[in-house]
Amino acid sequence: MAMSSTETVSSISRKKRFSFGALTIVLITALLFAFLTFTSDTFFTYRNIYAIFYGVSFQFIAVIGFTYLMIIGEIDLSVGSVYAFSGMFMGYLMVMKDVPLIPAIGISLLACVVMGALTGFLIVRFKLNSMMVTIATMTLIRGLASNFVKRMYGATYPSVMRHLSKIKFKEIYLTIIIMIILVVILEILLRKSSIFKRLYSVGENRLTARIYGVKSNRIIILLFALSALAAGIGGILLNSRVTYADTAIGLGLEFHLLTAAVLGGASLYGGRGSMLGSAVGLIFLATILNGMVIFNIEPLLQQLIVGIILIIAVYVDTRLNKHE
Amino acid sequence: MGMNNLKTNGNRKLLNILRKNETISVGLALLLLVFLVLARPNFLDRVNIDSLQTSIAPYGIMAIGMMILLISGVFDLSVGSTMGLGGLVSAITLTLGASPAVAILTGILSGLLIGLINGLIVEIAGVNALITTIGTMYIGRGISEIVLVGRGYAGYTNFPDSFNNLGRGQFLNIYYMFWILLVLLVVFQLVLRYTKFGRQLFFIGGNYDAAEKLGINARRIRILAFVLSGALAAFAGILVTSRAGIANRYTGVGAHMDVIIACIIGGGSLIGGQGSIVGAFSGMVFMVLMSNAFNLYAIPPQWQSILVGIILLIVITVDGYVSLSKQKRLGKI
Repeated sequence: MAMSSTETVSSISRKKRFSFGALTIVLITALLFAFLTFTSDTFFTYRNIYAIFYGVSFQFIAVIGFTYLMIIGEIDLSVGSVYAFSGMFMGYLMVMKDVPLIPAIGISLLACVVMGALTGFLIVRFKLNSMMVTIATMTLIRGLASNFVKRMYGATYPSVMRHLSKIKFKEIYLTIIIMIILVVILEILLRKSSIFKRLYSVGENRLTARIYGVKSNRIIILLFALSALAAGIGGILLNSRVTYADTAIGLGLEFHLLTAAVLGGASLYGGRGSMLGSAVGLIFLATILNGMVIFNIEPLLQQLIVGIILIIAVYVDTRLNKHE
Repeated sequence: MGMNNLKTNGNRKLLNILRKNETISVGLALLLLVFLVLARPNFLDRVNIDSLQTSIAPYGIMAIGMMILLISGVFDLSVGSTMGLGGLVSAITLTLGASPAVAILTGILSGLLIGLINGLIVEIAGVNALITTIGTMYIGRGISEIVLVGRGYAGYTNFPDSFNNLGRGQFLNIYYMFWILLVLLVVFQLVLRYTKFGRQLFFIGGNYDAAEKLGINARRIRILAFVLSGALAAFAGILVTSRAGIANRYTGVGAHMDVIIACIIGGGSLIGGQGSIVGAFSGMVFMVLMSNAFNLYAIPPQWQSILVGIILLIVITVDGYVSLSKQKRLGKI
């Protein structure tokens, strides 16, 4: 990932490369949809599509911050732990400490933001590798979350909290509506807004970005805080849906989000990524599982297929855009 | 002036000690060991010593492979799946009627193959190591699950005694597998220190491009490192399988994180170019001792992940601080 000064120059003058980005994953997902629609009667029904979108809407909120971090060339492996922590902490406050709904949400999300900002601070201050730091925070925060699981003795969350994920607007779950609105807004911002475009330049090359006056350190801390906040909100909603503190919540989510973001055009080397791509990547992964259930294929095969797809997608991408 | 000089000298000495990356983990492991021996009389019980050996050995063997990869600047998240698959392949071969020796070799071969696939995808196809090994982690686990479908939670059991003996037998009151670990530690320490391969690993991890320009075949060396890591992980899985007398779907789940964390505590870095076999071993010993301490004191395990997370953060930050101040002194920043 180290870049020498000659590459600095070339990366400014480089023309926009072919982007194995949002468009590709949209096409592939459309093909998958078409295939499943023609081969099965139960796939393309309102209820089924609705269920896929509802399931994805929780992960989508978490993938927002994750995608931004990938664009600037950082990674946050602690998302799955934060996802579990936020809802469990909130539930703990409500169940065991009788804290009302809104303050409980506030305290829990504040804790997430502080942890995210601290992670970002450490990375910036000591020039640390974000993957290493977030392996540490992933372990730490998972420990905190399990602590709340134990302390609640399997109690269900209060009904006001369980209701959060079930809020509907005109017969459609609010989380789905939020997802669709956010995808549109955030994708447009990434493409049109100069502030958001700076993220790509930070990802492409931090040194040049600094020369041009982009305060990359501040952006990095801010985005780690945002990633924790986004994962926190998604986690609160998912916990609300699961209705109790289940230890399995958020396990492996970091790799799932990474797979979705990479399928959606993000690169581990930074400088690329799209919100629409990440969202469609998540839908693609959910659809594969859905299709396998419909065709009665051993659901365990899912892991195998996702693994193969991930490697092939990145291989094709690497072939098309040679990294130095 | 003199005082000042003395102080900088003292600081530099401290920095030098800290820069020997394995110092922290060796210190932590020794401290914990002494504490447990003194504070818990039941620590030295036969049962406890047995369980320590049989947890340290397989994970320590995996840590050797991981450390070699880390030194060369890559890593392998698929080791947990490979561990499970290695044990499973051996178990199936045994069940088909092969001799234990053949079964063990087949198991190791499966790990070798996964390592080779990892190495080829990363070095020849040019796919990032994180993505590749997440992919092969999913694939390996998927294969294990499919093979085990319909076998319930028990998986494969009923191995001949000669196979189970590998994991259960002892020589001089020490488990065979612990002897094997000790031999591997010495061998790989010598390899790192005295062979061209060993020194080239550090070189590649420190500066890949420069190493290639100097005519080192970096690709081949990294592929070899992946193959080693895969084979060692599969072998660890075989040891666990023969110790437990069972090959099931839970072998090695999550092991990749434990191994990587142990290696980082032991002074390895995901950036490459640093690490040592002593560090891999002491990092693993520390992790196992800590979980043992939590057991002996009956402290809920979630506190362990909190503590491991904090220690990991401290180790990483100290490492970052030391290398920053070194760069500052050299005038690079």
